[in-house]
Amino acid sequence: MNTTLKPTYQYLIGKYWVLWYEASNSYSIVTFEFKNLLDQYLQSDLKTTFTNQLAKADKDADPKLILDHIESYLKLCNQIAVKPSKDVFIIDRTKRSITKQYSIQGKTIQIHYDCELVLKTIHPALVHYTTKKNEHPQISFDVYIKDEQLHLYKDEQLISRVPKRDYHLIQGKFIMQLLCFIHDKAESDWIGTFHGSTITDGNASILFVGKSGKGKSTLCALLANNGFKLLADDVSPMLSKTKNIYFNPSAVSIKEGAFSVLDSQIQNFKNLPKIEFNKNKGLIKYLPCAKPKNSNYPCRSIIIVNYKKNASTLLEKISVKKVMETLIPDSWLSPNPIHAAKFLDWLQTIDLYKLTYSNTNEVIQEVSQLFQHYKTE
Amino acid sequence: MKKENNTDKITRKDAIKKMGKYAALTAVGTFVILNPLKAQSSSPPDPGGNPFD
Repeated sequence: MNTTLKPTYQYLIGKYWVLWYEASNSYSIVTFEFKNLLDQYLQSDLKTTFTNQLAKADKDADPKLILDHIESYLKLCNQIAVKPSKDVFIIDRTKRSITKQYSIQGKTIQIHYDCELVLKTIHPALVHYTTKKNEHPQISFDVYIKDEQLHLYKDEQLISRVPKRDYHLIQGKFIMQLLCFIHDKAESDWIGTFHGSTITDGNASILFVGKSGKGKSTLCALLANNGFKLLADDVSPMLSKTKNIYFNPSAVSIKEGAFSVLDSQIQNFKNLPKIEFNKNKGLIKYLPCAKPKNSNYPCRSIIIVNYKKNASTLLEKISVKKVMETLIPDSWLSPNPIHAAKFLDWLQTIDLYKLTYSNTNEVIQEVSQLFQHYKTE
Repeated sequence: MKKENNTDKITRKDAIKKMGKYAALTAVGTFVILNPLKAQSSSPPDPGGNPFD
């Protein structure tokens, strides 16, 4: 059979097989039954060998239907990922209406913005690093709108150009460039950037993921105020060499719905400026947190955060399928096979949980116990 | 992007008609295919309103 379609990697994690396909950079989670049939198909010389085997094994089975099923699955998994085109757009230096400088880990960064709205995509999360203007920043960015497209330049070289409504992609690209700069790495050194927030106790770290509004940033703000350190909010980068998660200097963004909880729990939260970015979505506050001692920590577990009004605190083990369904579609993962293997190696070793909570003291206690467990292991 | 095999999403009539085949296919087991983002991103805006509109 056409073995070029077979998965590049296969890992057994809990009761599921996790398969990775290089052609499409896709992760597939399958049951034992499906994996057995897939193996049988790939090992058969001819399609008829496979269907005959099926017919022999199970009188009631419809071999043709199963064959179609397996073949359409493999086709989906091997759809070649289209690489974005690299057009050339010369920088427009007249777009430098607002200039800010930041000092992060002793490195000076300059950003030119064309207007207040564009400034609000990056500046509020870094405002606590703002410094007086220096003659020689070590790196310079330009962010502006032209022809309805948002542009990001680094040292006058185009990094990304997207429709302005997709500003979150410019934010993501900017953070990646910033991480490369402060950690002295290249983009090709990273396994990926997980959509989630990471907390450390100075020994290990835990990645908190979950859909928007499920309380992950609020939980991380609470933990960062109760003896833990915020390693990364929203974008958690993992380096290939160490398989550790690295420090992301952005402040925690807190939506208006969580203001009242944090007002009573975090000193000075009340005094933070309220940012209006999206008129339909209410206000946002950016909470700066103290930097952890080290720049990176090993991540021991992924927790899906599930804030639920009046719910009891419950930390329960969940399947790799549930975690992958939340994590993968919202994260960037490198298509490099070496990085994909390292990601799966790491995934195989960590604990996977879902944390339901409503009581802030109880949830802090629960997470503390988990960190304590990793410390004494 | 998530693709899932929805073997259960057929009409009742179809289900009865294909009962034999359907039972066999269920025994095949299930799969999901998950594609990570093609580029780095921060949290996308929640649906309904974009500051750049």
